[in-house]
Amino acid sequence: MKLLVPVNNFESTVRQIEAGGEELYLGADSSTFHNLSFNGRGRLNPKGERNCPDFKELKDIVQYAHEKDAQVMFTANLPFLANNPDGSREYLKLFIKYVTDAMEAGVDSVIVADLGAVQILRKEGIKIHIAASTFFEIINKEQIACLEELGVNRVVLSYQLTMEEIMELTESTKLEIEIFGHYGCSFYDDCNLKHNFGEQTADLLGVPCRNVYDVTENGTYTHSCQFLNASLACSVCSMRRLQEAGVYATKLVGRDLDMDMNYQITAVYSKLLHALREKQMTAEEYNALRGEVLPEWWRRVYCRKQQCKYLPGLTTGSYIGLDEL
Amino acid sequence: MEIGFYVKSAEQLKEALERGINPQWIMFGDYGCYKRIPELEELQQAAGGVDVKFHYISPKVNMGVMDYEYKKVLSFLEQGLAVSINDLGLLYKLRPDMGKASPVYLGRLLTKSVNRWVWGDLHVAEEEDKAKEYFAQNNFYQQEKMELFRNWNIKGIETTVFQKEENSLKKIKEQGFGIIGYMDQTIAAISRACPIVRDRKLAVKGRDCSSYCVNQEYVVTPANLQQKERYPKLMLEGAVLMKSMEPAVTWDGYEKAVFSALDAETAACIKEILGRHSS
Repeated sequence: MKLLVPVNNFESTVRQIEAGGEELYLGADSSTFHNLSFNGRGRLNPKGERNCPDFKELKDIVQYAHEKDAQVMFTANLPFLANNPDGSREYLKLFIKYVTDAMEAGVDSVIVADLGAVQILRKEGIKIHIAASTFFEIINKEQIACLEELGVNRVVLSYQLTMEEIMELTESTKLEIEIFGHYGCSFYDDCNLKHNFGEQTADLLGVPCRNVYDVTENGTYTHSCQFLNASLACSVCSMRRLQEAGVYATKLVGRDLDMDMNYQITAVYSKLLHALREKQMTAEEYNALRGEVLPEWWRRVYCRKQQCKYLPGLTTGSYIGLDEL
Repeated sequence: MEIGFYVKSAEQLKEALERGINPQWIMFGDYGCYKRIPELEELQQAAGGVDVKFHYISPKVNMGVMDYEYKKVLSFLEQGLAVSINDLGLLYKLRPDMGKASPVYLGRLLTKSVNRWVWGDLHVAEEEDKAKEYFAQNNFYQQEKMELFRNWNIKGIETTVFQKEENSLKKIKEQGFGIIGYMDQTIAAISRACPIVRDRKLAVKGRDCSSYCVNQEYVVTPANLQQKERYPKLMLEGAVLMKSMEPAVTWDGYEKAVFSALDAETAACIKEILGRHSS
């Protein structure tokens, strides 16, 4: 299982690779739009700075990454592509240019978020590894078979799956399976409470699924709580089984988060993954190793708050569709 | 244009019919949870002697319920019901069965629109007009997608009605697809983790939890005052977060206009549509 980590410039590339990142993901600034971008995030951060490098810096990043045997996945995952209103294909052509410019810079893969992106890249004869991002909300085998038929090479599974489901999905396909190792969302990624597509609005909205809400039932206020928050953060305890299940890559989220924190998270997952690759471990051996590797802050932030992805718990117990019908 | 009611239970259907405006279509189903879906027979009984047709909305389909949902949809298609599919995997599995007598539509989860982003206007506010018009469209308006789903024998698409999206809907219709418009509710978000069950510290598996959400009204409002001003009314229907909207029909090209909040305001809007249509 490879460790896929976020970067947003050359400096973070160097540090993430030092911390153990084996695959990197980032976009580039095409300046096509003012606020939105083909990169699946707002173009600028609240300070008005670019969220990702220009294509020249991207080339340097790819060159450096390849020298260090790291792969680069390019985010082209704006979850919206269409013809122009007048029937022309101007923005579709700009999307293709965005991808081909990145290919010229040497990227190894492109991450897409709209079915039309897969279709148009393959129709244009563009031969690059395509990853279907979490925006495809992949939760069953038939979706994977469909995407394989359309020409996808890797699928990113939904945040909200159980370990057993991941194992079943991995067994069902030859495509590369990627899962979310660290962090995730409360909703399927069809979520329309978008809050990372123009960062200047983020402080006004909070993180919508994690806000405290006043809950009213049948017209009567009942209580206030993080009613919509179903996000789970950590998959450290599941790494051994994910590796054994044949998961191809585990992704650490955070290209818009604090990079210093990202390096620490990468380092923890990297140590565990390297140990798992060196020898096959029993559950007891792995648990002992985990005890040695996890820093105290990690236990405080994730373990004590039971932020465990893919394992039985209150949140995973509320998952719809676990019944065998 | 025909009128549809999107109902969540037989009781709701009865109440709606008592308001005196009979729809041509009853839409039933759910986007997130198969346990919330009323039985067809219950709805048929509730409709009594009213002459209506039924249209099933199939939810997102996790692996444990794929065969169940597949058989259910096949059965409905054989019975002549129209069906909207919201899961690409189920749609793919149904591909050999489509194009026969009963029509299959892409559900609202299989097309995208920036208009549905709750703060979409904020996100595009600084874009140039040309880009704003681009993002105001429905993303089904792309030749490759339309060709793919035409080959799959898809009859049309469902969408939430936003006036600024209608230019793209007209183009989609010109390509031979029907458009079903939801007038007064848009889907804000869907979770696999049911907030209602989780809040009660229950587990979903093996439990008939529908009594906690069917015919129950949950409204969530940010506790933070600053956020409260910026959030619309959000209602939780099982694991689906809905945003209510003012119904307004400015285009007569919809195959069906579907209403969810079946109150006096809706009744007035329907009367206006029917009046305009008959004149």
